[in-house]
Amino acid sequence: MKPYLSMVGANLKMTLRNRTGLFWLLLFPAAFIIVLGSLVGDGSSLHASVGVVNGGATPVARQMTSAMKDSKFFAVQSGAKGTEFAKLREGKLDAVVVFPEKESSGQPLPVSTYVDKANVSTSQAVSAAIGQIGQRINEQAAGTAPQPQVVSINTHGVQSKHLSYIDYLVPGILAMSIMQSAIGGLANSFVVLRERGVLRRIKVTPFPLTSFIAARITSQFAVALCQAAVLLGLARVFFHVEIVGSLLSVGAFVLLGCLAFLTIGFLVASVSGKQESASALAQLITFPMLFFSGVFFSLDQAPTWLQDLAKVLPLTYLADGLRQVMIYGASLTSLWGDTLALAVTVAIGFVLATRYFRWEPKTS
Amino acid sequence: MNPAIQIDNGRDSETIEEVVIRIEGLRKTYGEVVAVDGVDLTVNRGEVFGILGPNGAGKTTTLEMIEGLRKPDAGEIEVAGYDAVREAEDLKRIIGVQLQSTALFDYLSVEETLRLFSDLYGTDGSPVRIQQLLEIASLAKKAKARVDELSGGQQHRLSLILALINDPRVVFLDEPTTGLDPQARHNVWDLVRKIRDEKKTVLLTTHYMEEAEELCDRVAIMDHGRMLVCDTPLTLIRSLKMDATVLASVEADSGEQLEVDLDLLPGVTSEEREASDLRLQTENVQATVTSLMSLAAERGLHLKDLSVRSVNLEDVFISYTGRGLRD
Repeated sequence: MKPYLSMVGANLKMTLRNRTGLFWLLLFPAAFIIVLGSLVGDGSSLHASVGVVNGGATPVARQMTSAMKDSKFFAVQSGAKGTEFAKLREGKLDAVVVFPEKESSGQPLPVSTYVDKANVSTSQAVSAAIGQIGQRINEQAAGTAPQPQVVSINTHGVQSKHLSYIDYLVPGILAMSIMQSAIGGLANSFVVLRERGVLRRIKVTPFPLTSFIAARITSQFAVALCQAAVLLGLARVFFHVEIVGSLLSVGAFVLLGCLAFLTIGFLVASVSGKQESASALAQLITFPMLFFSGVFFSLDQAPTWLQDLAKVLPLTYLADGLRQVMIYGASLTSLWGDTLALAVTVAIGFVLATRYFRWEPKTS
Repeated sequence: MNPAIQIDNGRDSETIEEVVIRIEGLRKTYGEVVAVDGVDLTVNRGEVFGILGPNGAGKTTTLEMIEGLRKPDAGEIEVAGYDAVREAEDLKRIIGVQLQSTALFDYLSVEETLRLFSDLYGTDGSPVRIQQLLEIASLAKKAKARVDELSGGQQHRLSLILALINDPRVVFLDEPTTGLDPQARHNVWDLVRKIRDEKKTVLLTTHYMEEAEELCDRVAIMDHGRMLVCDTPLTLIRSLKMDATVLASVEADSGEQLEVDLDLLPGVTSEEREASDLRLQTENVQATVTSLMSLAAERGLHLKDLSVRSVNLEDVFISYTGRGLRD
């Protein structure tokens, strides 16, 4: 285990010290987010308008509604379920809170909150604020003795017509930067190590070359997670882009995408004899994906042939998967299409990369 | 095609040597090209053994088969009791290797490189050992420098001490000084002598005669995939039955030229002249020099820059292959 960890550590050190590489894997995508984000601005506001349905039906509902009215954060209005939902869909409301018409004794009151999926940052704030109010009421009711909850809150996302551009862009840029460093970065450095004989030097040590590859993959995983942390952190700090879905799901997609592109990176390294040709081939593969995978703009309005093309590009699925998790809070299981597409990429990439793999320089 | 040439030196020596490397009938072909053509070799414990030959002779291929980098087509290799083909993984732990390409990870420092390889070998990369290695390679001041900031000679020395990081029993050095300037070459030679002083067995390849003469206890001359001859440098040189080369430049008082056929002087086997420069090969240096002096005195000639160069491995190589090492 120690040789392996030592190799992973060395890989990470080398990544950090490679200024050019660092530029492409962090600075470049970060600049993209900041420049494009500043152009379109962020969609967040300090106030949330909420429509309440059945706010006076039960004592607990009355208690919660008045708590929301007291809060400066909420602008509360009441109405029938249908009209409030219509307002939410049109983007006139930030959320709708629906209380049940009756309470069933002994059960916590089921409260449903519907938020605008597109306006991620506000939706997050709304759910958090309503959650806090619910928690406070639960605690007051409990007193000192433990008692069953009086309120349980479920949050649902509702698709509105408008999606803010920065929310759309950030997952795409993250997907792009993962691809760039897993294909271009890996292929470049691996070809150099092989052609200059460093791999042969490793080969005469007792450290198995398969472990060397595994260490490479592990360190690339760490790099991809760092990319995600930095880029998503930037987007959050500057543009209030929040992650609706679970961080675990984001992480899982980051790693799956990273692995898919790594197999392509190894394939590129295997068929290239020189760093220059690896670099050119990597660009040839990544460039079309940048434009035709819906990273910068949605392809919904694009011609059919372009949409068909996007369907065979793995970056489409990584960008879409990350977007679904981040914006809509989709779970991994509901994204089986994206997951499957990336898994198929891993499988095909693995078979091809193994088929063409070389430890020895081409010249010898 | 001759059958493999049998080279055996252990038998006629008086002392009983412990054989560390034993190679029999080693053969490797690349398509039509026979790179190594039936090589037999034994290397004894504690000796510095050199394989001398021109580029393309098969030296590196031979070494890489012993190191486990290439699989032989035929033949047996045994190193310190391990079969180099079947027990390659075990063997890797007890050998140290410097490859011809000395490239390492550019972005790591010298010290980090040593520590990483120490971990890869699973040895304790104790700071003491690393410091000791840095000192024998005169790299202590460069410990924190990154590999890509080192000079060519320093990179060579680093790759050499990396071959010692696992405290190996046998060290393989593939052309350890190729491409280095004379100063850097002498530094590497000092380093190889220090490795010998650590009582390690060293097998090196080179195409420099001086290097083989300076460093090696025994030398095998290799050409076209075959070992032509193998012995101590001194024995090889003596076997030529040639004493020395006499060099001088001749000046006459009266501008008179030296018109005698110097081939007729005692001992001389061949003669070369270029303007006033003389180059005589002799099998009896004393007789040749004495008669050359008296001839000069008789004719009133001045011999300037008279020097006698002893026979070297280059002459041995030429006599076995019919061409110079650098041809």
